[in-house]
Amino acid sequence: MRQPEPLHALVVDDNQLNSRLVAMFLKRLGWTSTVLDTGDAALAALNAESFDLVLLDLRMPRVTGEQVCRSIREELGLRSLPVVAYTAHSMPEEKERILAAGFSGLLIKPISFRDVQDLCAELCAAPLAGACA
Amino acid sequence: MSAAALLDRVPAPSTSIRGRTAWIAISEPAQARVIADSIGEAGWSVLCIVHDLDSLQRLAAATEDLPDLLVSGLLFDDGDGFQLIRHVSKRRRPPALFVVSHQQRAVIKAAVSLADACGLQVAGTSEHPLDVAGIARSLEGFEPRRVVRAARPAVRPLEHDELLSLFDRGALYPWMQPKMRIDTSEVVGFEALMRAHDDQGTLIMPDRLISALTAHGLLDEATMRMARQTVEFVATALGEGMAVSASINVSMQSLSNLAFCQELALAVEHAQLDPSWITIEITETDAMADLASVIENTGRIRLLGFNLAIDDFGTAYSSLSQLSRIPFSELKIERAFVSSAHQDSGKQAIVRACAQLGGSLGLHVVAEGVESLDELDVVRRAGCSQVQGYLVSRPMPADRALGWLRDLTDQRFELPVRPAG
Repeated sequence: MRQPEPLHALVVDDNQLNSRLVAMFLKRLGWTSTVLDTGDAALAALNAESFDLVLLDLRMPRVTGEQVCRSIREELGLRSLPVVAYTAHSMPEEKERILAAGFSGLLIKPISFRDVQDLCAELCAAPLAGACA
Repeated sequence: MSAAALLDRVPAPSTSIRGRTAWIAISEPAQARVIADSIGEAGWSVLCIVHDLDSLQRLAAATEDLPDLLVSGLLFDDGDGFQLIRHVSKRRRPPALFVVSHQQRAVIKAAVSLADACGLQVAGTSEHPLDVAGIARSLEGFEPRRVVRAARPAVRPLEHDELLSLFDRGALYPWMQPKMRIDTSEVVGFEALMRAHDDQGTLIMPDRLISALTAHGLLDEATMRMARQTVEFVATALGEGMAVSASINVSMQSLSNLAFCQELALAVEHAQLDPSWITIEITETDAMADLASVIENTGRIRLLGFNLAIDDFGTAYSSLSQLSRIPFSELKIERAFVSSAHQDSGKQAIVRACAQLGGSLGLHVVAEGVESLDELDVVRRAGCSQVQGYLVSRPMPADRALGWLRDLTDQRFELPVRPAG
């Protein structure tokens, strides 16, 4: 039987320790990932290839995570692609604002493996079980 | 009335049992007598019975050695049990205390707390002074601690050059104590606790270190050294795919030093660590100082991207209004409220209130000092999100903590199995 393609994530964080950690977690869950460190590079990558999930750090220099998310939804028209913000601890009202900016979910730093696992399960079909949303 | 009239001397049995001598201080003579008889049968040598505070104080003044046990009521014609507890606790070798009183439970509990706070061993309590058999049963198996309160050995304060030598030898470092997330049993962080070794290899604990470092103006430097090693610890763990944060204790004095904050930011930048993996812990006492300065200093730390915890919550006098204005991300409940909380409904109420308050303010709530599964149950039900304490692990040197972490599967801590029955 032909193995289905593994799910593919785009991880965008200017902090390499963070993005490498997330990539390691995703690998343990059977995903592959592309790691980039700027919002501009992320938009270029999303324009060129397809991803099953995008994880965006909100606190990036120059183009912020919120701006990248808006561009993904409006300019690239990828309205159903799961885009998750990860951010330092935030107050409940901030969470509402972030979700209202078009994000599908929120990961609060410091993240744990279980958080990433739960999020993938919630937003995407189980790995290897077909394409996401 | 002379003291002698209120004092029944009981002849000591010819074979007085070492370590099981008792005095009785109960205002009602007949009741005191039956209790004395009953505990005498349970193996205690009752040396004397008094019925008022004055007699007890005179008797105590006249003898060098107090008994091993004092069975006491709480109300006397000339005073109360609280005075009595204060009085005997000043002695070098104070007796253990057994409280017999039909006062309300809250009063008995206060007496026990006072005895505890004064360093007396509490042998037990009885709310039923007439149940002499029950009192005797409680005392039958009781073993008094034969602790002689030595004059506290004077610990020589560390000198300036000794502290500098600790720095030079790299002998000041963090010992890491893990924190476990309750809902997933994942180890999600560590608290860095200050330790040092003198040149003979003896461990120096924070109580001795902090006072000396503060006195010699070296606390900022020591905290920075702790911070750099803690940052390195977290960066190593993250690099290996283990997601753990760490917290360090910082005084408000250090936080108010701009150069200190900048150096802290540089330390994480140097390690290429996202500062949100580091939590700065400040004590509740520090947090309740001048509001404007506290907001400025803590706000700056959050601005730099660090998380912020209020430590030892419940020990000082928090203004709730002030608490809500400081940008905390975590609240740590003082261990004293967690310790034996499963046996104390008052402590349970405090833990629950702290957890609800923290949760409502959107904070992680960490219970400190969790040592048993029973205590874990209490703090879980109360709504705490994380625990720290001997149940998970004692503090350990950083390299050992990393090894300990690597040995876990998926960072999950296997809780001990509760013994059957």
